[in-house]
Amino acid sequence: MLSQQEKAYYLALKSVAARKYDSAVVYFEQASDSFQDNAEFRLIRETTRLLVAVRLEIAQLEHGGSDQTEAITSGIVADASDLEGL
Amino acid sequence: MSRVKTLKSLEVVLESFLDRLIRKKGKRLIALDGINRLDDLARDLHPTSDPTEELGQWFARHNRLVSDKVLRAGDHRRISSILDTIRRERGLDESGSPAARKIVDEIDRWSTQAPAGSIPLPASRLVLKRGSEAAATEEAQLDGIAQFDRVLQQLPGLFKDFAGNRQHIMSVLDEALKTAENSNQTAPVMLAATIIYWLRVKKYKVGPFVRRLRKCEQRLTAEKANA
Repeated sequence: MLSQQEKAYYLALKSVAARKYDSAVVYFEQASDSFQDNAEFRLIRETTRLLVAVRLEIAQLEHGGSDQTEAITSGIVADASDLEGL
Repeated sequence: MSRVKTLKSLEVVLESFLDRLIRKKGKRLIALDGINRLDDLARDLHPTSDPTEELGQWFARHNRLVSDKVLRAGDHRRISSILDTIRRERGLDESGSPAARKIVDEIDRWSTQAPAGSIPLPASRLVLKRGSEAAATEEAQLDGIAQFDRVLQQLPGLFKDFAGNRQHIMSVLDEALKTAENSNQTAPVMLAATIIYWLRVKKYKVGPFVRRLRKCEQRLTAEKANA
């Protein structure tokens, strides 16, 4: 029989294949006790986590009203918020 | 480029990377699909239900796992083990219905099939190497002690899990080796090695178990080298 962790890793991979990254992160967590030492497991889990974090950040910037506009001054890139005090 | 655009570029890169990783694991996922489905079947079978139809569907869908060369040797053993469990627990034998007999034939055929597509283990000699005593720092020695202690702590619980209701220490060893063959953990290998040594002291024949243990060690070494 498969252990719960093996099943979770399999479901995590299936979720990544289906681009259901939020679910994948949950399954990766459930599998982590048994696969923590597996380099491939860590690579896919961390990449998926990063992707979820990036998507969250994009959603917050696009819908949270905090989109930061960049200004370029004398070749230096700065956030618009940094220029407010000028 | 705005922060959103930068993040979206990163999103595309990460998604593409994951897509390629998953594509690379395509055959592995097909094998895992088959094992997982069979495992679900074994767990979910209602005591009074007839398993022949669902098992028939499983064979129809996954029979090509061997010929398509997607199974590792450990996968083949695991599938055989799950099929044996279903057969034993559901009392499937030659005296049953025609459908049951057909399933028994399929299970027998599966068990005798050589895992032709199994991924060969790297043929390498096992060599134990260590640095010179003088070069070993006290910290490194402490690390080794801590690491060994951690594995040692896992063994009693692992042994109890594997022992369960089993009647003989050989069955516990077999279970430990199966787990070692299908995972990259050190503890099941250590447990198997300990049981083998104990059996050897008791004058049991342990040759086949030693060969399986060596394969596990080779795989662990190869995986660590590739990590």
